[in-house]
Amino acid sequence: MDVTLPLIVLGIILLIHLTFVNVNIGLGFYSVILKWKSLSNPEVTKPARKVFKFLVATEVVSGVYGTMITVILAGIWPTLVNIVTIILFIPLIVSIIGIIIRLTSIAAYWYTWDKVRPRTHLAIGLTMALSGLTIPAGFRYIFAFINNPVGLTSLNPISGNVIEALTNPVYPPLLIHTFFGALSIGFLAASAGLACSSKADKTVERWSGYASLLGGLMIIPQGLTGFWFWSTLSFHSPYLFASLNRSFLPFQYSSTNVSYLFLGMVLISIVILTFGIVHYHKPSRTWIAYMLAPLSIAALILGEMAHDIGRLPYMVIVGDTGIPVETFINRLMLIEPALILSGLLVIIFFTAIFIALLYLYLVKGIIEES
Amino acid sequence: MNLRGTLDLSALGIYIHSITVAIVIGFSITLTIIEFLGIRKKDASYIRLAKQLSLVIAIAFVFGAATGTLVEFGLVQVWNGVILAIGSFFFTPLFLELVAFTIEATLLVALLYTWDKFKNPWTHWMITVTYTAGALFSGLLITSVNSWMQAPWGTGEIVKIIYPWAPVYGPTAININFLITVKEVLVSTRVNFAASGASIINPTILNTLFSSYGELLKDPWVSLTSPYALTSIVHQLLATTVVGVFWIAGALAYKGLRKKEKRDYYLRLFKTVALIGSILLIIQGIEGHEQGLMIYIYQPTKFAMISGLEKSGPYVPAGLTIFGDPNYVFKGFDYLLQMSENHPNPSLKIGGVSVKEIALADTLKALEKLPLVKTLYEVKIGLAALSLLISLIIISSFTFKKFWRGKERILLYGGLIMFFVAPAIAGLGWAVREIGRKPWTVYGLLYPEELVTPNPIGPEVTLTIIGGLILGLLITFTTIYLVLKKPPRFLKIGDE
Repeated sequence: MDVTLPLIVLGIILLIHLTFVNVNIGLGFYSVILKWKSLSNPEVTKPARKVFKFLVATEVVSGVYGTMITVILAGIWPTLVNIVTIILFIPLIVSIIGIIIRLTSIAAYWYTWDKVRPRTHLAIGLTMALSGLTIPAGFRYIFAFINNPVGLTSLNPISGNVIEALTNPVYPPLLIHTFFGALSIGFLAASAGLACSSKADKTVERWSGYASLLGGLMIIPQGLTGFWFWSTLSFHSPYLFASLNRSFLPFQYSSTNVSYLFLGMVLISIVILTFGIVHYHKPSRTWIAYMLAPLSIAALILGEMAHDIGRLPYMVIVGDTGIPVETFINRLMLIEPALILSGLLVIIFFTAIFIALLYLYLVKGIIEES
Repeated sequence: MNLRGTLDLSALGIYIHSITVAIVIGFSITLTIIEFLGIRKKDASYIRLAKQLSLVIAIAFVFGAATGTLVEFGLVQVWNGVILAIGSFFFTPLFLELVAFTIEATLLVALLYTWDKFKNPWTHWMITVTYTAGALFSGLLITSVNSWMQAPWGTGEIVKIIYPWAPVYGPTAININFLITVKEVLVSTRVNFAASGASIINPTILNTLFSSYGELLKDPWVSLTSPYALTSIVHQLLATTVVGVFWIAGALAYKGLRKKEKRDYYLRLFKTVALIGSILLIIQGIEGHEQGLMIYIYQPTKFAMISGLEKSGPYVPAGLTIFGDPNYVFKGFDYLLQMSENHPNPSLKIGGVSVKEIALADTLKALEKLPLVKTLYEVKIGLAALSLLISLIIISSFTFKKFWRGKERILLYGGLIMFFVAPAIAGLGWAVREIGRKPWTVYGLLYPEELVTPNPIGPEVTLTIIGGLILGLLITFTTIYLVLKKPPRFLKIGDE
């Protein structure tokens, strides 16, 4: 079976999901930061609420796409999912618990707004924000596992050490890099949203600039942990490391070259850092905020593509080589490309409508204010 | 946690998820009808109710999506072996479900935020209709997945080879050698190593089988063409809708009884909604015959459990409705055991165990469930009879208006009773459906112990999941209460 279409389907769904998830995590933290600021400056309450509303709306999309990924993975890559669910049993349970806490704490944060003491509300908000991190804390193990399958001792029958799987050296840098990336993207999304709101309400302008500054500055720890992740790959996932650096370090061999995607991500990150600081000093220049949000998403997409395409033609990297993608493709049935393509088109079409509605609701505000 | 506990945890997750499903589907149908009436009659009270319903649907949808994710995770992570079916028989319905889910989510936001935004109100109604179609389509697809586990359509004579009393499950849309080999390995792993079969669903085995025999499934649409699934879809969607509709009717009845000064207002709305529920309930009763027929044909052990036939003999309700003969002798467990004893292929072995032995042992395991399933079914039928009576009373209030004048409180109390009875019937029905297919997860083919994760599930995980589900449910109901008490301004709900 040709694996191109299944890879494209997985890639599209994954990228949409990751975009919304990252925006979501960062928005949670920015809302709490603004709430904290509002303790001394009540003016900040308004942007804090706006950012939180934005979070609630995007949470739905990330949830819907999360469900899709499970079905796509289990349907098209069944044996990979079976291996992952057995070996990474504990991290996946952490994610499930994280989802429960996240959803309930979002609801709690919503209801207790102005109903409990501000510091109590802040504590609930912090729980909400931190719980957002527990979901990737589990799921990022999957990426670490396919970069370096620690814990797997046998493929037939599937067996391994679920505790040893937790010690994957690729995981810590990947996770922390992800956290900083999510904060950066979410802050910059908040900046764009608040920049738009500032047309009608100048008081939020400052907080748009502040979000840009934080979003831009997050690039520094993200870059440092990115370097840590990159160097870890050289030891524990050399094939992926070679793919990422093929144009720069030609002594390494890999049949896939994603070095331009990697370089693109790095260059965009530098632009984000620079313009994030500029926007903080000139918050009235809303075009900077409008530019930074899509740029941060572009950096995410390039980074994820470099990370995931860099493994090809393997699905799981084992040192200089790996287990080919074809090994895990569904052999139980012939998947009809027409079904997949037509389904995917409908999904993308309705997602676009959803985003348009989100835009009407959040940015234009016509519905809310009418 | 042992297998029993894992099964119970999954059942709890499904039951809690089904609460939101009943709201989403039942309320959507009611919303479509009520909005239609509101626009057509230019009646503000109907439109007000429709707006309230759309709000509740939105809240339940979010919680439904969250619990749905947990149920889905449960399926993939706790019952790993089911991946075998997700990658084959379930793939088409589940992939289409993603499409339906996206349509549903998008149109729900659209319908919620476009109330009073169009000059022509029918434009909004069209969004409602499309959204409801998406919700029903979603329910249809998920029911088809469950139905395949009840009657594994497309497996042809495979089940009959093991259990001589079993029917033929449609055309043979599978590669028999592939499936038999998988079953061999599953049984061998379970019997010889006392281990879960989930770990054998791996690339080495599946790729080897593919190289030897080709794909397992030849027709990816087969699970959607099963007569059992088609009947079940109508049956389940009707049951779910009836529950949702009577929850609305019950809430309106409660309001009508509590607020005497507004009783006329609530009574009118209650009667309209309760009429929808009553009509659907009667249709459900008629359709129930079809569902019973499917069980008779495709699930002999479940039919024997429901009708309490430890020994072959007449079962009057089924005899009358299926054959027009109350004395018709149905085959009971004695016959099924006898057929297993006289197995046509006694020397055939699967995983080193003779099929005769398997058939006998499993038929006896099914027999153990008879008292429980029969009791659940009889309680369900008793409640169904009560609900039919209440439904007829509600319908009579439209034809015998003079008689009911001044006695409306009785109708409202009837609505209150149905608020509890309708979900009880559906819950019992689902229990009969699920327990009745035991000892198998996929009827006649796969056992729970072959599909469960090889990893232990600790009490901390169990308690967190149960706590999360209950907490989520409480938050949902609190949200619904608060939002109905103080609806968002943009909806312009207005006064009663």
